[in-house]
Amino acid sequence: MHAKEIAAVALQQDQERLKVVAANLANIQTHGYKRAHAVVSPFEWHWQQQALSVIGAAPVATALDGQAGKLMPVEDGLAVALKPGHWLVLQGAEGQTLLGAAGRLTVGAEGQLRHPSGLKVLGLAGSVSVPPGAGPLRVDDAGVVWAGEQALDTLRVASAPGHLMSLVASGGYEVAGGLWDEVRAASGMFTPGTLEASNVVLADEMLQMMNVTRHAEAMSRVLQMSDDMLGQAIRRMGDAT
Amino acid sequence: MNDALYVAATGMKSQNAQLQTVAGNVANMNTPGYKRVEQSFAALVQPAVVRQEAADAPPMAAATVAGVQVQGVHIQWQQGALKPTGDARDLAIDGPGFLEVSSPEGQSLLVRGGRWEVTEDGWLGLQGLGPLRQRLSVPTDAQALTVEPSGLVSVLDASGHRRELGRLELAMPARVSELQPVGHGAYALPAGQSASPVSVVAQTQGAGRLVQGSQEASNVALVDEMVQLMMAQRAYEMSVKVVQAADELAGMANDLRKS
Repeated sequence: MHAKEIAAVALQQDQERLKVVAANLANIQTHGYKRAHAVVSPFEWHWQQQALSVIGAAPVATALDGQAGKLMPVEDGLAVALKPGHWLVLQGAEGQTLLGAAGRLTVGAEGQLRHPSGLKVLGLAGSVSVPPGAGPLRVDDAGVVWAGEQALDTLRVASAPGHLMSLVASGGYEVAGGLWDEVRAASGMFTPGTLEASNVVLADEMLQMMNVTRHAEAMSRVLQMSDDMLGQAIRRMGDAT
Repeated sequence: MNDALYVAATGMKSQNAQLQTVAGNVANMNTPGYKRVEQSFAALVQPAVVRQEAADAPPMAAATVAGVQVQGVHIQWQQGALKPTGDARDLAIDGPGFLEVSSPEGQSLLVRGGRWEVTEDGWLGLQGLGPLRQRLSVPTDAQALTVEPSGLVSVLDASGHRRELGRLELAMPARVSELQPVGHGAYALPAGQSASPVSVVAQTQGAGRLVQGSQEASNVALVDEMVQLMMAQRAYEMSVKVVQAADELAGMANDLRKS
């Protein structure tokens, strides 16, 4: 690969990396948001991609940072936080099973318990339906959904390492290779009446942003330099004699 | 192309909405019965192009976060402090529950309190909102109307005897999260889908008590709003920084060809 091409691909990727930073910063106040970070692929991998004649800038791979955010109390019986590394089990739009961060659950128009992403939350007996006219809803610290004095279902809990998870279109996460474990909800696993803040750290994102701009600067210098060299070579071609 | 620019723009837009919410709360700090509103955000997710990957390639998400959007507003129902006004016409509720009035269109409206009055037709009602849903007829010569904490309404008739008019009940909606503000401190349930609120005698089944001669102050805490304001401002600034950085990158690409 020519130096110019390498620099051009790197410049393109810097823009993608900036997009990841932008998305994190935009969601700094989104409850339950997990920051993504760009995975720097080794040069060798890019080289292979080029060798396989994948032309054009490869999209930057991102990984999810599964770390827990700070917990904030709210007055809402359906707002729950889960222990770090644990996720709610959701039903995707195509019926597939997805994982999602705990948050403020709501009751949809047809009476089903829904995740903030709009997906159905799964209990041990499938999706959780709230009968019309049911009493006040709340989730207790063992994940049992109560309507007044009546227990509706127990929420399913999954444990999965964050870095293996990737976002799918509907807003839930998929785990690479389906490597997640069903966890039996125990007392103390849920913190009712709290919401988890996003785990975006401002300083980290700013640092990343500075890195990206400087890297892009360096790459544009490489591009210019190699262009200069080519120009010099062309200009001197006739001077030899 | 320059996606970071658009992502940051969504950030600026939602922080603007957050600022509006804070402004609404602060403006209503002294509105009796006002409940503060909180905004929540959700990540805007966009499906990405899925490519066939080599086995050892790093994991590739099937979707990317393309910004942030305002998900909705949540009314915070915490009790506001009860302020005695010395005016027997003020009614407030200490604890959960609402007074129910009917709008001219027959819609059921829920309020946390207000100033009672006798309507032209002789019903007990709330100022600016009309008669209470539970019809209590007040005789024209009645004086010194009192409302007991349990909701018992009585008046002094012409001969100076205390006469009971009836018992005011509190409306308890199954899910307060479904209530929508409709102005004048009133809230309504969305038509059709929700069960109508249950009427409960005050001080029973979890309902609060009625307090005559008091107003419920708004539950806006200035410190919380200030914190929200600062967060919104800073988050806006961050998005501006990203826009600048994205512009810088585009500038560099533009400057690649110098002459």
